[in-house]
Amino acid sequence: MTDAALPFVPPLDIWRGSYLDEGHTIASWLTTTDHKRIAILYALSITVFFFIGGVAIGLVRLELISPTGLFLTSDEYNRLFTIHGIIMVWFFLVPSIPATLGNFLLPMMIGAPDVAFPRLNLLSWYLYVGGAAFTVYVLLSGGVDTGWTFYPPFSSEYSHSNVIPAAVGVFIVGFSSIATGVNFLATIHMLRAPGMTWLRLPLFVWSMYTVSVVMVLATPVLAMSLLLIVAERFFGLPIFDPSAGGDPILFQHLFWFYSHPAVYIMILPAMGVVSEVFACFARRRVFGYAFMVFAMLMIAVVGFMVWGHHMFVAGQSPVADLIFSFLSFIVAVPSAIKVFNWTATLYRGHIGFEAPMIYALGFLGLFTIGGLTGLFLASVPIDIATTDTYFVVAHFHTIMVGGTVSAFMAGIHYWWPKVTGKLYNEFWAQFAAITMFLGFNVTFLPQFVMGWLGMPRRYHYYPDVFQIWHVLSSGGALILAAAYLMPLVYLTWSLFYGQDAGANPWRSTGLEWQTPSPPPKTNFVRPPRVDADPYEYHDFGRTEETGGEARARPQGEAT
Amino acid sequence: MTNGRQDRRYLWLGPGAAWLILLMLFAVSLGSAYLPLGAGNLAVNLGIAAVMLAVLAAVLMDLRNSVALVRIVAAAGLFWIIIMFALTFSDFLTRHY
Ligand SMILES: [Cu+2]
Repeated sequence: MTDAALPFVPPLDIWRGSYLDEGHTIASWLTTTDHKRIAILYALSITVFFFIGGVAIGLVRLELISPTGLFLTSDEYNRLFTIHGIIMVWFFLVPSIPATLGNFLLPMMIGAPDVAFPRLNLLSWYLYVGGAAFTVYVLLSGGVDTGWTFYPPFSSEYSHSNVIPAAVGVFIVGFSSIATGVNFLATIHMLRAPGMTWLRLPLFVWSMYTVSVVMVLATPVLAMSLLLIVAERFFGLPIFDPSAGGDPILFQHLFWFYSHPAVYIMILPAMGVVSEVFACFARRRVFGYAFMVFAMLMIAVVGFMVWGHHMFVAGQSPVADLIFSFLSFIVAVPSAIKVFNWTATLYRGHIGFEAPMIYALGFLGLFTIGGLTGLFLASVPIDIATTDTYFVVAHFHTIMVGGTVSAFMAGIHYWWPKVTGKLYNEFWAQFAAITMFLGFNVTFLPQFVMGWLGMPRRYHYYPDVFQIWHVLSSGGALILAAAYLMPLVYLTWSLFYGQDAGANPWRSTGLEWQTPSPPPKTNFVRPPRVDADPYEYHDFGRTEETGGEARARPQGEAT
Repeated sequence: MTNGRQDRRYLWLGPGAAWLILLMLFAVSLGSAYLPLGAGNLAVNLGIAAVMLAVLAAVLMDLRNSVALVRIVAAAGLFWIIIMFALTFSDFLTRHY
């Protein structure tokens, strides 16, 4: 593709070195307050934890090939799926898009030189590392076997594993979320460039705004509930112990008050990413921009009112079941609005199947399946039948892996030329994207089936009839593992041998593309000025049938 | 800008007084637990807690000197607590076991 004809590509003679040239020592990275470098620190750390969590579940899937196990004791098995959950939720998914893509792009998209509190930003990474250190300690000292949910009375009384260090690790990493959330909120409120009004914010920025609200309001409750577990386990304070007047269900209320919104912490950023990708690769304005914004705000608010759907069999009252079931159906509405609007965005677009788009299309299909199976589970009778089965496991992995990880990969590929200034090998990227989609489905469709047939989750041994589904699922996990390893290779390769990307290889209209790649330390050579709405690609779809390039207008000027 | 002396007064005097008031309220709360008020005990305790909360918000969180946006953020926090309590009580208050 050519970029010479477009007026908004910055001329190269104003190039004055990028953020990557601002120091090459390790110390310069560990003491940086540049949001772009902190994003890269985060990206490296969460990648390490993604692969640790991946190895843990790889061993579990291998073990489950046989109905009676292959090489693990039941105790080891419990510890492996627990560490998989803890690491993937808190050390990968929650920080994944906000702390990497969000950190890198949010200031650039609103035309700011950095986040509002650059040192707080660095502190949030150190808090992540601190929490991660506890988790590594747990891993090396024998693990924890409570499941990622830390339910009492098992976690407070009966478990003989490292519950306290695990809880402390999650407690600490929660503060890194809160710091990121506060920082993003302040940045979006205070640092928008002239002309960047609220309804001109790219949808990715709106997704960062809403996710920050959720992080700031939900995470303290997680911290509190984990502290109460520590108080009960370590100091004998009987908060959740019914024999002393406590209530174990209270823990579940507090825990899910955070952990359901945490699902939205994972999926809102993904929605932001794919909105950018669809618009760019369909060369279309996002359909119903205002609806997209209000849908995200509604998800952020109503998402706080549905947590009780995790407790239909926990001894919650039937009245509460009814209320939470109803609210859970309500929260599906804004998600459905978004799915329809993405579809309408694609309609009559000039769709290109570059790797980011393949990942984003994978997101669209899988998020829809994940969302619709969520409606099954919001219905009390179906949920009672499927509670703690693989149906639930398959449902939430479809949202978190099929949804969030697909979108994360879409975002990494889409913005890779911006972050590194290099182009990756398009063929291998497309190949990896398709492999990931197939691997995902081979892994989790069998889990939907066996869950529906009654295979309970977290069981080490199982009846022979389920073996075929487990073997299929484990085979899929192998494909998925290959799909995750491929990008490591070709992306690393591109760093050394990749073609120079130029400022704007996708001819995107976003402000972050109207500056050199990789960007200078201050993001823009001149303070940007915004004079257009986002996504001015093509107003009317494939009209005129010119066969040529669709018209595209950048959101502003920055060079 | 104020001078250093005023800064120090502002930094210490308000929170110091607030701290003393909170300690006093704590003592009242503790003392009232020994009075035989029946259901009144709960009402008194919740009342005292509300006063404590007000002192905290106005003085220690410095909402009395904050701009509107900060107050809205604090109000949102309160609203979310209300959601949490209301829906949690939708369970606890309707259980028959
Ligand atoms: Cu939920």
